[in-house]
Parts: sequence; C-alpha cells; structure tokens
Amino acid sequence: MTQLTCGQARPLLEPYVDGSLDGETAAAVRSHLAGCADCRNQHLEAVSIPARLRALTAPEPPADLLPSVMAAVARVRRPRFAWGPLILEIGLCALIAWYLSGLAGLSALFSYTSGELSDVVGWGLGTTQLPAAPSLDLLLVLACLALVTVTGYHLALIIGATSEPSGRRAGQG
Amino acid sequence: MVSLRAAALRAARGDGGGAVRLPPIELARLAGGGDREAFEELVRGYQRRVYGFAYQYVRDAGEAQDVTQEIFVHLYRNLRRYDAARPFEPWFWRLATNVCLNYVRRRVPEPRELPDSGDAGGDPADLPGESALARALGELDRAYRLPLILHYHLDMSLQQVAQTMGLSVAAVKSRMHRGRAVLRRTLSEEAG
Repeated sequence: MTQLTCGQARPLLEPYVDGSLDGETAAAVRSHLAGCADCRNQHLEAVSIPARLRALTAPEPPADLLPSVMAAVARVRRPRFAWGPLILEIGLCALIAWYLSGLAGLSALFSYTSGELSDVVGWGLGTTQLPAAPSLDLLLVLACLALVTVTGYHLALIIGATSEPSGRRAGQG
Repeated sequence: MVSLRAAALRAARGDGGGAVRLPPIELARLAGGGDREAFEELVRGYQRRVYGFAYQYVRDAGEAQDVTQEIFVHLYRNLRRYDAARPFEPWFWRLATNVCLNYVRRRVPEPRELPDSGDAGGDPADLPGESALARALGELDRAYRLPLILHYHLDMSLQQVAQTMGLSVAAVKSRMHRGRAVLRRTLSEEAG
C-alpha cells in the first residue's frame, strides 16, 4: 500500500470524509491517519465541518421585507410594455411608405433630398442659389410628426424599462 | 373585473387563508403573466431562504435586505423569460446567485480601521457573537463559498448546485472539497 506523507494526506481528507476516494487511496489515508495524531485532528475537523455548515443560522427576514419588495416591484416597468408603441410605429411607417408610392416614391424622395442637399452645399460654396422651400404636404408632415412623437415616447419607455431600480430598501429615500 | 388568474389563485387557496397551495412553478407562470398577487405569494414563499442565502453571502443584515430586494426585483423583471417546462428552482437560484455576485462586485469596500487607531472596531468582519466558522466562510473565495452555501445552507443537492452554477457535478464536488479544506485550515490555525 502507498505510504502517504502529511502533505499528501491532508488534501485528501475532504474527499475521504465524503467517501469519494477509490478503495486503494482511501486505505492509504486510513493507514496514515492511524499513525499521525496531527492529521487525525485535521480529520476530526474535516468530519465536523459539513454539520457545522448546516447548523449556521441566518436572522429572520425583517417584517418590512415583503412590503418593500412589492413597493420596489410596483415602480418597475416591465419590458413588455415597451413593445406596445412598436405596432403604431410600424403602422405609421407603412402609411408613409404607401403614401410615397412604394419604391418609386422612396427613390423620388431620395433623389429629391440629395438634390436639395447638394443645392444647400452649393449655396454655402457660393455657386448656386438657396433652394426654394418645398410646398408642404400636410398629411405627410402630420404622419412624420406622429412617428417622431411615438418614437420619442417609445425611447423613453425603453430607457425607463432598462434603467436599474434603486438597490436601497423602500423607505430609505 | 376579476382576472382568471386571480380567481384561480383564490380557488387554489381554498377559503382565502394565507397558506399557499400553488407550487412555485405555477406561481411563477401566473406572475410571469402579470399577476401581482401570484408574485407576492412567490416572494412570501421564498423570502426566508433568499434572505438567509443573501445573509450568508454578504454577512450584514441591512445589505442582505438590499440583496434580497434586488433578487426579487430581478425575478419580477425576468419571469416572462422563464420557461415553465423547466424546473423553477435552478433557474431562480441561478438568477439569485448572479444578482448576489453582481451586488458584491459593485459594493464599495468598507474602510478598515488601522490597528494603532485605538478604536475597538477593528475588522468589520468580526461581528459580535459570530462563530469562527461563519467568519471563515465569509472570508472564503466566492468560487468555494457559493457551492457551500447552496449545498449546506439551502439544502440543494449536488446536481442542483451544478445546474445553478453552470458547472459539472465533479467540478462542484472539487470546489466544495477545496472550500472545506480552506475552512479546516483556517479553523485549525485559529484554534492553534
């Protein structure tokens, strides 16, 4: 049988106590313990620790724990509420896209916008005149304004839903 | 209007008394659907264990209350993601463990008194009446402390501890053996 030194036996005490060692190693530990008083003391300590860990107590939770948790939860906005405005946003985008006559309309909008921008740049460089203000399309303007408003509201909801609540207990300010 | 969920909860309670008859998994499912009453029952059922777990981890009653509250707030936020086809406990304790670890990571360490300051305070870990084992456990590396608390304080099986920590059972056993060996050495040194 293998003869163990104290340095070899001590790391094996916990698995020995748990019965996790194979037969040969366990026998070697047992043999070492029989002849080593220091390791026997360590073994007694190792045997007692699981029971002592189980016996560790914690104080009772304070009486205001449940109300404080429920108060904290009442302030939480669950992420699901942030999904509601998405339906409205998709609807408004669809309306705007439809109003701009699909791909042709979007292409016209892009070329119009890029033309306007190049005119503004040219005006800045002194090569062209400032472009005339476009005629307002009331429905398009209203739909875009509504989209901006809903998106702003949606962003506020998302920020509110993702920000961490205070870690302090309710009633502590 | 009375919600179907609330009615089911009341029916499950029988005569309206305080005893919870619904299992945690069902309470979690109802609470995930927005039933505040079911969530309250869930908190009531778990608060003692969660507070005990938090206390063993942070070893301060006030902080344990903060951690417990944070765990339940995270639970409330994440219940909709819980898959009721899977066991509730490992999912819940994994969440609780993560919240606890994050809390400790964020915590600003308390300033320690210098030995010659003349103050009797000394190490804030030396709480009056606290056993040497509790103190040694509190000073143990968290990789070893957590499985010991989950197994011995919360009475989880090794399999449940492994699921909670996302480790193999063999890895959990190894950590627990090492953790207990450190505790043994610490206690022996203190006694000697």
